[in-house]
Amino acid sequence: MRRFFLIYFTFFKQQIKLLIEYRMDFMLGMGALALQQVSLFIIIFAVFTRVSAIGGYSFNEILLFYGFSQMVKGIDHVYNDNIWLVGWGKIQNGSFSQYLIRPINIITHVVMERIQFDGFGELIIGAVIFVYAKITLGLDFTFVQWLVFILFLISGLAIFFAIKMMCASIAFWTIVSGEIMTVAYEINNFTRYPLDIYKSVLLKSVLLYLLPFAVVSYLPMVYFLRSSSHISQVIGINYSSPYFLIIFIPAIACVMLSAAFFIWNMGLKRYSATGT
Amino acid sequence: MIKAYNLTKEFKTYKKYEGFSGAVKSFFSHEYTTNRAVDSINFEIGKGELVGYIGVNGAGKSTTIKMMTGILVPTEGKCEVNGLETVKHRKEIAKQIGVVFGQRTQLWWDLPVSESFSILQKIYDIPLKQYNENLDYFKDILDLTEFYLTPVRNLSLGQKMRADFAASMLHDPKVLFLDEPTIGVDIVVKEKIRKAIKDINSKNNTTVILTTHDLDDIEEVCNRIIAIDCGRKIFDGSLTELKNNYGKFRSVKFEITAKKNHNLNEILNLSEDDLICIENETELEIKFRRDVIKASDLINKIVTLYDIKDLTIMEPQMEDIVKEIYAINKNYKT
Repeated sequence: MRRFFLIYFTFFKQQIKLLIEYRMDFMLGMGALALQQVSLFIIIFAVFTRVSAIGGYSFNEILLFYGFSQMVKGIDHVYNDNIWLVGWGKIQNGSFSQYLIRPINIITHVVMERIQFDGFGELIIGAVIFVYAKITLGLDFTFVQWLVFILFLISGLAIFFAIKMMCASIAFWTIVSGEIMTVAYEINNFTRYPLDIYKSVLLKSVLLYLLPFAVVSYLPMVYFLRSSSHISQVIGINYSSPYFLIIFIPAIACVMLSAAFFIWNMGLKRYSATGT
Repeated sequence: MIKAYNLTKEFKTYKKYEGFSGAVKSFFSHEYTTNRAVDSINFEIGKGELVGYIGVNGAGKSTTIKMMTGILVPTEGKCEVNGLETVKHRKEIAKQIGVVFGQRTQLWWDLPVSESFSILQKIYDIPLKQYNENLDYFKDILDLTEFYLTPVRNLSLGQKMRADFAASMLHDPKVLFLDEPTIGVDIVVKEKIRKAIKDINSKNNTTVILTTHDLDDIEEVCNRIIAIDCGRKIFDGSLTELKNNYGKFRSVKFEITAKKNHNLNEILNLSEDDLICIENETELEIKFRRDVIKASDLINKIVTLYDIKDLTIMEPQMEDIVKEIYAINKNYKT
């Protein structure tokens, strides 16, 4: 573990140097992401000039979902960006091979190799929106609730990680899987709005179990906003215990992670390095 | 040190058709052919050996190296490095081996050589003292100093190769795999790399396996040669053994004043398997087996028959020897 942080720190230092070298690229990247977020924010705002609630949720409640989802997305973007390249050509051009000759875990190596500072933009804006919404809603967290919040945050990150890893693994079979990754990743946009507005059971199930982005942002926030009976009705699972979601969310994350590692390892065995 | 048992790798290639309509057809068809890139290869390589692994393009050299280093999983058979099976002990083996792929750098594109090395120091967990010693040693032997602080993307091919070579040796691996380490680099860099290989081998008794198309590499560095063709092992032995068994033909080239068309096979009483001559207006080239006739005897004879202006004796070239191995192997099959 100590060694892991040592290696990570070394990579981190190098990334900082690169950041300084490519500062223009960083500014543009972060600027573009910020712009994207502001425009999304404007869309939400515009919608609420016409309606007073979406699926029974007020403007500030929607902002809470949005802010939290951007925080998770931002953190994921910062630390787990290199895996995109596995889907987008590392297998195709054979540069993936170098991970296999290093005495450390392959996936950790992939993750450590790149830190995407652009993601800090998403994270900061997400956090600002979240905090603003939380204050205006008068939502006060107790210490235990903060712990639950962190548990949800970690689970969300794990789900993002698992989805990206699964999609990247497909490249072991198909050589390139960037498009699949992009499509799967973009599904997370569905969950900026509460699951309540989706009537289709199929879509709900996809967002809960297959590409569980609803478990990343919607469920954690609605846990703080609505009663158990309301949530149980939306997700179609009958439960009464107030602790249900505290188990359910990490459980989904664990299942997703296990599945991702399983597919990844299966793919590794199939990996056939290209060229000489 | 390295053992390969019945090592086999099969690749499936889906049948492809030509042109656009062919591409559409290929998309829907699932016909494939299985080709064995490496076919039941067995060998054992001892500690400190310098092995040249040779073969034509597509013979299966790189595939074998990739199985030995744990990058590819063999279809059949297994490979052991230092008693550990490659597939099962990837991480442990990674610590004990160094790998250089001549066609691909393992350094980080955007980082200076120095920084890449310091990351490798952490990844391989190399004690600082050992790291600094090795660094000084390689800076010296491979002349890394002049570009040590340059980003890898700005290095020339030769510089990159030297940096890559040093990178693969920083952790004092017991086995060094070099897949075409001298490809595309000039003669000076080639010399440096060869010298470094020999130096490391004598210093640490490192086992080295290298694939190459440059037969000078083999002649200068290796003491054992394994040749493969179409995935099968066709020769395994020492360099002298190779030369004795295959380099049997020598040739002499005479510059002559006039064409005379003597039948030398008859005159010397040798069959066409043992002596071949090609004659034109100004040149007479004779290829002969050195164990049936001595060069001096042959020359003495020719001098009496022709008016000779000049002559050159050509020793068998590594290249010819290799061609011969491949050719003989082809005959076996048909």
